Amino acid sequence: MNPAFVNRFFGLITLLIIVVDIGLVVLLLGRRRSALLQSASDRLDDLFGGSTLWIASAIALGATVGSLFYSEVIGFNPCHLCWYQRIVWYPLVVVLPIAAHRKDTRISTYTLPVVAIGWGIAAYQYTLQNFPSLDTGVCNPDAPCTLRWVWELGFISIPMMSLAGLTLVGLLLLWARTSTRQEHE
Amino acid sequence: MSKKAVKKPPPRKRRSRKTPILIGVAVLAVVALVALLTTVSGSGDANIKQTRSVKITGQALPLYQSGTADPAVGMPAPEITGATFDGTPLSITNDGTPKAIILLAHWCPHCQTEVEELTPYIKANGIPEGVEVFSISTSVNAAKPNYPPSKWLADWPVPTIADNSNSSSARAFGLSGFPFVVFVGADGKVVGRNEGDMPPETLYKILEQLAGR
Repeated sequence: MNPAFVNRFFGLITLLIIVVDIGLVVLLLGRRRSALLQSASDRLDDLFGGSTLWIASAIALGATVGSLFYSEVIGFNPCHLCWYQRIVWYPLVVVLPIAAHRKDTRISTYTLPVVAIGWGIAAYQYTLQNFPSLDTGVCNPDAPCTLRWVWELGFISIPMMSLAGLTLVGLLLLWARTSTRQEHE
Repeated sequence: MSKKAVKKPPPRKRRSRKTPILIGVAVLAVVALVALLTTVSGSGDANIKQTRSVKITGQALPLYQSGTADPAVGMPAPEITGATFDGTPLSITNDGTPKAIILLAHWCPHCQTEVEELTPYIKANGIPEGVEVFSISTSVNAAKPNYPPSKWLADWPVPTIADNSNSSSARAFGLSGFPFVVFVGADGKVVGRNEGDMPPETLYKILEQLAGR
């Protein structure tokens, strides 16, 4: 498969996820203060409320398949920071669908800290990619963390994909949790 | 007292679980189509090759390990006979002139910074008299960023050998990280090696020391 197409595809998906991330942050923070946002939130809840954890599972699966595709098919060597992010992503593929099947929104208590750790690592690597001088100043010939294997739309690299995806998974977990609380209220 | 019957709003009905799936599939299909339409394939110059065959003579240097005494110091530097990207023959031999050999990878951000900083510095100051500076473009990989190296180094004022696809020159100099500089004395023996960023002023100080000033 043409790597340029794959990069563009994942880049556009990431852009879409970033837009959704921003929208969800606005809704989660503003829905108690604005009737308009509350209404939008209710509509979204109607549409996706029952599937929140399934959507989070699909994102975890997409990230896992994407990372394996990049390393095993296209041949991008994962650096050690990429591996730490994989350690966060891969178990989510197993844990989130089980929680979704059991409608267990308490899963967020266990998964949100893990997602937060992965988020921190992705943010750190993205910073390194933009400011390589913060690193040791040496490129590992095999798998340097500062290397931008992908650089779509002027800002989307693989750590940015991870960052956006983890943000969305985190927000969906929060959404599922608050949505359940509202239903119980 | 009349009691108005308060109508409770009907409970919100959640849509079928299929709706998000259909929306997701539709979004993926649109994104794939846009990606396909906007993917532009690059074109290359047939006369320019990014890797060329090289002939290495002499013993390979041991792998460089930062923070320890370099065992390569005092060893004869390997000699490289090869060509530039456009096929012009170019050799790095132990011809009695001290030299610095800079090994670069097109995808390495630190090499990119090094070239970006050194290019105007060399153009403004020239190379100190009595020394030579060469570079080797190595570890070439079309799947990695900033490809092709010939385009990246088009404005680079240092004579550059294109390493072969096995990066044999990099191996011969014991490269462990990019950018990598090997300093060779007038007697053809390695004076020192350095991996990582090097400010132009530092490089020039070493070059002047090599030239005996």
